[in-house]
Amino acid sequence: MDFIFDLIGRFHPLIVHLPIGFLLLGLMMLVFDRKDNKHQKIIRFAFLWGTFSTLAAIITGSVQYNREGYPWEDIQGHLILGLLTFVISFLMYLKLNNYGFFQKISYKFLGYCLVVILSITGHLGGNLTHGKDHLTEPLPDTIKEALGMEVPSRNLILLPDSHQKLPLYSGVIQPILDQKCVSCHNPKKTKGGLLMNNYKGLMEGGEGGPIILAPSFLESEILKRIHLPREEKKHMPPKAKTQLTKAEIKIIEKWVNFGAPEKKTVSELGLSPQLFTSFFPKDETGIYPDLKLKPLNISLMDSIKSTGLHVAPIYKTSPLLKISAINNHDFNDQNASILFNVSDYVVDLDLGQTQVTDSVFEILKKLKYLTVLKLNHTAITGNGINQLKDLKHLKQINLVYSGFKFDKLEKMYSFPALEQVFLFGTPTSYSTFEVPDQFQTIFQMGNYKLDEEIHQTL
Amino acid sequence: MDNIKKLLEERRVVEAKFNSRRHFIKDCSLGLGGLALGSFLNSCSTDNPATPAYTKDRSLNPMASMPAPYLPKVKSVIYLHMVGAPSQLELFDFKPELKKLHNKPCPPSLLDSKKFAFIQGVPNMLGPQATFKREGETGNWVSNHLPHFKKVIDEVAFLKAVHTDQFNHGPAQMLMHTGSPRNGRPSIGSWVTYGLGSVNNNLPGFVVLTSGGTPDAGKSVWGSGFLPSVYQGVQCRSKGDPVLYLKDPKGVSRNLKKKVLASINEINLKEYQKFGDPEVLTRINQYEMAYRMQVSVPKVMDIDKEPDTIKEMYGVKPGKESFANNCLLARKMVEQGVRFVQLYDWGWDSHGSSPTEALDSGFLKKCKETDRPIAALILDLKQRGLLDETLIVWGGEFGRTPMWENRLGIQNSPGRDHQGDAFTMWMAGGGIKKGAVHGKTDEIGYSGIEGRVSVYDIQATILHLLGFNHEQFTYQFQGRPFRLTDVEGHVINEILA
Repeated sequence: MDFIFDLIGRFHPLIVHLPIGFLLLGLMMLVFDRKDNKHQKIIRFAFLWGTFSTLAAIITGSVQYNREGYPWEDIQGHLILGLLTFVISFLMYLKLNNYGFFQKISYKFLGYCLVVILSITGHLGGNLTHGKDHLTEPLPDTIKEALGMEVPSRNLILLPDSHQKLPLYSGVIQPILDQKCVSCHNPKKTKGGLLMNNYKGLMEGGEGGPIILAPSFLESEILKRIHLPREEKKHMPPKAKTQLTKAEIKIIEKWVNFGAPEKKTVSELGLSPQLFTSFFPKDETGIYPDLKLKPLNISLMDSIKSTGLHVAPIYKTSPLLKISAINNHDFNDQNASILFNVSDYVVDLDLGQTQVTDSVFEILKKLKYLTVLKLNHTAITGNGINQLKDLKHLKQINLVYSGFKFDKLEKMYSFPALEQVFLFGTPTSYSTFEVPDQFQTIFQMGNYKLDEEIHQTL
Repeated sequence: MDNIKKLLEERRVVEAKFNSRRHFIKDCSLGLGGLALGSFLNSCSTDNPATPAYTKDRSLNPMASMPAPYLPKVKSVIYLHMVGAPSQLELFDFKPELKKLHNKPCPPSLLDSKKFAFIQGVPNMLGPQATFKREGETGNWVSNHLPHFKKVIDEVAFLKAVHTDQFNHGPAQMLMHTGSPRNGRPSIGSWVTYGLGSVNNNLPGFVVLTSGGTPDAGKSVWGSGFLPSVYQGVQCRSKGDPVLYLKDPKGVSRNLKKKVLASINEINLKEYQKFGDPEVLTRINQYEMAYRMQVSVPKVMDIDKEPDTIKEMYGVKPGKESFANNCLLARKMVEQGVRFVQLYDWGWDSHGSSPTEALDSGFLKKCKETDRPIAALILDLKQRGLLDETLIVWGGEFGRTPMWENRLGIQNSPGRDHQGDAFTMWMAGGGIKKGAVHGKTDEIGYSGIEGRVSVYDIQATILHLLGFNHEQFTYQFQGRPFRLTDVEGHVINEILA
């Protein structure tokens, strides 16, 4: 006869709706009747049954909690607030029946308490059955971010080096399905009787039969549904949900066409890396450091622009700045002090064809994330360039047609990140100075020559 | 039967009477009003194309520089277009098998359902009119016609199986540069300047330099199509006035000109504030740009001041119109922050029907004219630290057949017909995998059998290197967003570093 208890427990989701309805009706009547006092009888009736049904809900709920193994942490709030709902609605009922002791508590207080507690109890109950993100999940990502919620990365990330060794199904296909399909096709919520959270479920298919059709794999239901126009009711994922990307569709198509193998790896199936490039992590900042900075405020940016410098982020959404004096050939060392204001932001600085001299290094040394520096066609001779040795990200220096002297070259040997220095057209490039072998690839003197006329005569 | 005819006739008369003078006037007023309303609502577009998202920040300067949506690998592009379509079989695509078939009749299977511009009946095959050698550390093939190119071959990534669906010059050039074989779309340089603007305030963002003649497709290959016309290419000449009609007329001082322009622009600005037409902004900007260009262009176009070693390296001919001059100018432009430099070199249409079009004379002259300047351009950019931030693209509008062209059934000097199914292009510079070879053609170089890439793929790749996703880079026009690559195009990752 044990099943009786299970059955009673299962009635909890039905019964909970009764107190919500009764009590809300009672509260609405209280407001409606606050002046005339004509319907006291009905109000009492509503709260009597509200209290009873709350009790019934608590009992069935506790039975379900006992029999179906919900963890205490998950249901404690719901249970305690449920009890509180019962207490308050009972108090309300007593007060309505004029038990002297309760006259001191106001209707208003009890009423507000009941509304709040009832709503929270109901919401927590809903969270248990529909999941905690039931209400927040449909929100657009931008609102989620504004609310400070974590937006899960929706896209699969594969590594260019290792993806070939992954089994196609478990390493690529299932993660895609997990992100885009499983929220509706899982053991808890099994739309269309289809499970997509594991290989077995995919092979078994749903109410409408198998979704992967052998031997004409390309006519499989799964592909048909994906390819239906988004407006069609049967298109999957449903039009309001996050859609599969083109690259994802292509890979699922390949996999199904190979007969939906479970174990075969990407390389065994001979799939080209090009299919997977959109899953590789994006190199967003390239040679520049990957810094998380607050975007520079516009007025500061404008004040620098007003000096005739060209200021722009390295790409649209980046806080890092690229600054160039290309439109201001009169730019000099004094002007350069304005760069102090943005010392953390400048990663690419072009002071080529300007009036700057060696004393500009005093300022440049403060630009701690500077990665690319151009001083071509200037009077720079290299005095004091050793001040840049603490710039951990400085990778390129362009000194073409500057006055750079060869004896300053060795000061740059100790620069930690230096990759290229262009010295074409400087006194250094014409000197007989020999750069040590290990630095030959860094210091590029240019002076490339083409052979004399070698075309055969016509 | 007669009755029915009568009935119809009656109906016609009644209808005609019904359409009285009053109706005509009424229809007119509504119709014209509707037309006027249409233009108020910006024709049939649902959005407001007068201020597309991209130009919103540009308030009064449509050429204002804008950051790219993604991190760009290059700042500038130098596009070397060999007008007329150079033969890949005499330059980069080495086909020893074709040599064995030389002067033998073409198998009919190769001619089935193919369209040619001039080949008739069954032509003979034409073996490579060049000797090939592996050069550089990468050991990529290059022919004896490009002796200087071997010096830069390791900087270059080859695309050996580019294909196009156009086999006539004009449409093929349009497709290559505007994404459509028909007129009306913006050229790639226009798209780029529209998206990125110009860093240098005194020079145009999109410069066109021609040698040998104007491309067959005319100036629309650097036109701005439906984009505001400020984004069209500015043609500069290496001979005579750099830019036509830029000089002040006799008796007009620069000061007077300044005053005149200020007044005109003030009036134009009022016009713009009243109607919001972006073409007015274009005009204001053109006047101001022209004024500044009067000083800046002669300076940047002056190659005399370059050191002799550089002049020698390029093989320039001062005062003349030459591809070498244009290459040196391209470097100077890029050095000054010009976004897109488009070079057209005319005369590569090697049909064999006349000496200038023959693979054994005119073609060799073109090779000689371009080989040295191109190698010099790459080396010069490299020694100035500019190669990493510049993309160089080389190619024609299509390729050439492995068959010997037999125009009017006559086999003349060695020459080849137009062929779009497989031809070679190369790219070099920032973001490019040095020495890469992508794509392979069949034994006679007739079709791509591996790594085929389309014209759209080339465009998608160029935009990618400049920091655009070609699928997201659109312009709202006539009620729908347009993009350079239309609905096609994949970035060619195989040649990207």
